Amino acid sequence: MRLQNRVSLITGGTSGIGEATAILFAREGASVAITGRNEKRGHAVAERILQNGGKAVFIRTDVRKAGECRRAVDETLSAFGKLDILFNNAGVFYPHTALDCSEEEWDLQLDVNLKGTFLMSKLALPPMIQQGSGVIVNNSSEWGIVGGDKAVAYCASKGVVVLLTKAMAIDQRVSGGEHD
Amino acid sequence: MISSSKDAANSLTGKVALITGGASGIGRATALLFAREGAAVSIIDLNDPMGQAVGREIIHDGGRAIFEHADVTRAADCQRVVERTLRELGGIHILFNNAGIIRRASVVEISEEDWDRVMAVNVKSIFLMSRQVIPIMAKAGGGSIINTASGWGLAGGPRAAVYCASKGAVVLLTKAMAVDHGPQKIRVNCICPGDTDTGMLRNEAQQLGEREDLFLAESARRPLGRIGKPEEIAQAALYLASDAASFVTGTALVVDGGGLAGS
Repeated sequence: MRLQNRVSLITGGTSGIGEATAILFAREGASVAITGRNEKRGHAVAERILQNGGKAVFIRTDVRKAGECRRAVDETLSAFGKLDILFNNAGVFYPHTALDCSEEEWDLQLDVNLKGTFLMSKLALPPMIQQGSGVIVNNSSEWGIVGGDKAVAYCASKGVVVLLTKAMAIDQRVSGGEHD
Repeated sequence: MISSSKDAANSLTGKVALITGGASGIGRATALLFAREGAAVSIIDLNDPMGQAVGREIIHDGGRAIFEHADVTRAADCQRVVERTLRELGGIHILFNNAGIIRRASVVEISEEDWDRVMAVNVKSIFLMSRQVIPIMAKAGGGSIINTASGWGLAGGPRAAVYCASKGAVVLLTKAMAVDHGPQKIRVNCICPGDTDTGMLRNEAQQLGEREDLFLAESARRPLGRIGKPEEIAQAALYLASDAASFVTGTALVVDGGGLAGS
């Protein structure tokens, strides 16, 4: 039980890596706030954790919107009393070259993959700093380190997540939150 | 609740681990942690009293361990320790190539003998040990090899030319071995520690002619504001050794309190 008494918030927790992480964190003792846009799947993941004796809530959130991010952090704090771990995992992918990537799809990928990470971190940091510790984990990609084909916006967004992570690690020095 | 951490994916129950440079520092901390997680540990080092003491500590705590003296830059020594480990512990599932030394000098300052010695201990030993152990792992259906590289295998540092060269070689040797032996289900990864509280770190202050307290204070200048503990690097080795890292190979895991985040 490596996360006993920890409170975690997982964006994009309704499926895939986010769902698997929510289940594992709960098994390791953490309370889990799951966010995502798909209410049906989100409630199903939370229900599965509750049935296994864990603690979980689903909070419908679009991480592109600051107001919804604020509500996700506030509701996590009111449900579990603190926030120790933020897993910025929400992400979307559309396969396009620069020639055929529409401006809407560019914005969508940059907003979910990158701006969502910024907004959630910005709102999660104050309670972490106040309690004297915290961990932020950002889900980037192999394609945040090397380029891939037909993935211009995805590669761009994930490359920035790598560097955003390093920049936040430097900013959040001791006396602020620990930051992975 | 499905399982406790003892029988979870990070346990090493039933595994045999061979650790070079296991008498002190990161190697010692890893030997103790692996034993606590259920592995039988073969400790290899040049320092007999300290290596034997680690073995005794593990056995005293109810674990299984052997110590064998070896110079891992010599092929015959590597063969001998592998054979003894197989004979007495029954297999090798985890190889932690951790033996390493440092010389703080620029290329102008360093002697040719020191250059050769650092490259032999830090790099050639990995080649010599791995070529003994890989056939054993392949035959057994897989294994995990972990090499100790360094933050200075990814970025350069002052007056550490041969150390940087050797650790850069470890990072790429790790990736090359991961490519070669993935099909045999042998995972090969390295750890890139930042400054960690070991005898080697304190020895650096001596080599540079600096006051130890000032040197350590400078080492602590990183986002988490302190140097690492050997036990914290051992946790990274445990992750890479265990089934928790079952999809991880060819990686250089940086464990440095954020020291490299800005470089």
